[in-house]
Amino acid sequence: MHTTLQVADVLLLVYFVVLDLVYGSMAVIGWTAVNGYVKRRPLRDYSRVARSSLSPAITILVPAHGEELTIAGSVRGLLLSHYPALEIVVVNDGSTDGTLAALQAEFHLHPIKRVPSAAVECAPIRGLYASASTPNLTVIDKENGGKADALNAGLRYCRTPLFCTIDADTILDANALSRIVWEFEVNPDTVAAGGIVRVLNGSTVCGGQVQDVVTSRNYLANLQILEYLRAFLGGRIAWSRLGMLLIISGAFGLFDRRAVVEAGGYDTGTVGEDAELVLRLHRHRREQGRDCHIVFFPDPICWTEAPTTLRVLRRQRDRWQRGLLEMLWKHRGMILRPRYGAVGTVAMPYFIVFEAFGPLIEVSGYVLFGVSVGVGAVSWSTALFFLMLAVAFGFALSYMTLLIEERAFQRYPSWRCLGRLILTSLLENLGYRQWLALVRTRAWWTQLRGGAGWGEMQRRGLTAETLPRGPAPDQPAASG
Amino acid sequence: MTVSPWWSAIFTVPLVGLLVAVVVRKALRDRAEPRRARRRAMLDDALRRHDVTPLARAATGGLWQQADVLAALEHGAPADVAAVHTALAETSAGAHVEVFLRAELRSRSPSRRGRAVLLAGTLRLRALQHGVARLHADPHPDVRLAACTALERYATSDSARHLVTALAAGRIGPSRIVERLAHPWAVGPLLALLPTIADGRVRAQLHRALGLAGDPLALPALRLAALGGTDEERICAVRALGQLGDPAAQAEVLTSLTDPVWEVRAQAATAAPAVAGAAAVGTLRVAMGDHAWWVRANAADALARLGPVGRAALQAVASGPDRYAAERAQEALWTTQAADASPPARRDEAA
Repeated sequence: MHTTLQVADVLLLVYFVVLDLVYGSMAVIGWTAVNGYVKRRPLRDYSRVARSSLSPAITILVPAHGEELTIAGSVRGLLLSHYPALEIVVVNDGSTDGTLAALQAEFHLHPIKRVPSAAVECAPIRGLYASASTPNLTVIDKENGGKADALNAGLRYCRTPLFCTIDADTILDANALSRIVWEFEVNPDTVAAGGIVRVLNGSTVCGGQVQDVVTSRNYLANLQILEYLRAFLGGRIAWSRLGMLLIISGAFGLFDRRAVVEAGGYDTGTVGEDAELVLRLHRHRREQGRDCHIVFFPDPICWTEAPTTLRVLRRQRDRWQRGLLEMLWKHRGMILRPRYGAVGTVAMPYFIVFEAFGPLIEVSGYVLFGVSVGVGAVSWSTALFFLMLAVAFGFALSYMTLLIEERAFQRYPSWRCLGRLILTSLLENLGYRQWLALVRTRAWWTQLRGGAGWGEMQRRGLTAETLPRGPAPDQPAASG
Repeated sequence: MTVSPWWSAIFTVPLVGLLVAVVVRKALRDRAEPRRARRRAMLDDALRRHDVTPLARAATGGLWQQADVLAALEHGAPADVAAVHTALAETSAGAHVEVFLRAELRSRSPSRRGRAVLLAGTLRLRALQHGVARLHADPHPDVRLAACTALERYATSDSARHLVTALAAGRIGPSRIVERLAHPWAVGPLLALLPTIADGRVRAQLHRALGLAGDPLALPALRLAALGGTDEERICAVRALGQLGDPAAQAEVLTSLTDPVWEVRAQAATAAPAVAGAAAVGTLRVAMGDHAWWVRANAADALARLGPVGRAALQAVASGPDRYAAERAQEALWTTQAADASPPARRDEAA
């Protein structure tokens, strides 16, 4: 009994050491990449892209469902983007509230006829509208079919070579598009690029743009600020550098329209349509023997409001985990197949072992270690040592991320914010991380039972008051 | 299975080290920002006084000093910048900068090469132009693009030739080079180079640049390419003719509306209102029945831009038997009517 437990404990420790080494390597790669970018940033003239008539035209697709309070302000915020050729397509995905009415009131919509430009299937379209006051705004009103279906509807009517997907309740930095499009300009093989998503809670929004960036008074939001920073600056940037990026956040990504249409558009049968599309692009392009350059670029920023209650956060993370499981299951044929390059032979096995099964193994590890200590197979001092080691490594990763943030972006300028984030890193490793492992383990159960859809996201701060109304907003408002 | 707790020091020390690094980084950053602001003000002042010594000192300094020189020169008044170029060429400070940047152009660090390239171009150091041109084939994309920007700033026949070489190499998105060639100073060199270039794709991009430069000198070459070039050349030449908007090219543009390649027809449809005006209505109306989606779309938009006579043609197509043409005509009419119906204040704001 003791020997069996000890062998299991050793295996678990080996697993966590490998995982921590991978995370550590990712953080180091992230640091190297960001450091190089900071040094090269003066070489990039983003303002030129923002005013050049040769910059590729972009359509921003905004799927909206039940966004009556925020949609008009969100669109006003998007219209502030510094980009020369921009169209905004809002897809009202069968909202039962006044989303369409809010758009009609704000932008003087009138029905139009528009010929589809791509044969992408979607739920029936009820009507198309153009704005009398804003020529580059189009609204598609359709029957409810989910986010992926709404994006497919937008793709169906998109006429520009590139399209950008964002959530209806997110705020895009005015310079984000001219920065992210750079990746398409310097490498003609780029088919998709993702930007960093940051947590909005606590910051001040003025005129549809984030003005004063601070951490939140809500510690759950601060935990997510740190978590997002680590995921993007420590994880995705490294995967991108290695050419194995599997996830571009649905909250902000720029795609080559033709490549996505050729790959069949968004999959409406998954809750993780953003990641699934990226993986399908990898697959489709490689099966055709074409290069597939999918990158993450940390400078263009999109702001989103993070959940501030455990219940909503649990739903969100449950959905993310199920999306990951669905994506990996659907594309299981790519795993360990050299035909799909490093994506199939390295990234997918990593995601299966450490991201899909990771929470199960982590929860099992806590139970097993507890039992081992209880029956005397492992001494208290050893258990404490490894617990401290795990916690210390968590701190180290968080500090490394903060170091990257301070080196490159400094979006949280005050000492108070830094202090809060350091304090948050303590809380994160003592409770939050373990709770998330339980939530993600539960997602396995939900998935095996047949899934539970999207759930409802309750927003608190990003209301109509914090987003611009009318043409010349001048009153700052706080959110979060 | 026991482990001594003393081992905890192994992970405690790096952890504390990282935490200190975060705090120190922030403190340094907080100190650096006012320093940079002071330096920028000093460089702006030196630029206004045409004093090259502080500029030369900063240009041979570190990352942020060089970035500040570039910012000062890019945002400075043209007359001041021109005076600095002259002063640099005449003083020993200029020679010192030149020696420094020549070495930096060969640096192993992409960021140092890139900054050196930009500084050489922005300061118009003629002696370094050849070294700058070499870097349009640099392994790093940011350096390649910086080299193209520097060549644009030189604004010479040689730099135009080097940009065309970069275009032919295909390692940078063609649009980024075309926009750097789309200047009056480049028109002469491009017209001289056109007959010597064998690759039709490169010639096509040069036609784009000529169209954007908007110089009527390019008209004969573009008219010739619109009818006799490769597919890609014809597409770009017809688009360029539309940008020039010279009625002398009416025959070429209207003929291109019947080109066998749909992309040429689509571009001709867009160009027609600017070049042929109301004379294009009949041909555009025929183009509304084209089998290619984009030709129909562009022809409808073109007719909508032609005012009442174009709208009358759209109305006729909208009630005609061709369903595809009718749909597109209806869409264009809807859009035009909506724009007309919008309140004047709102229209101004949108414009």
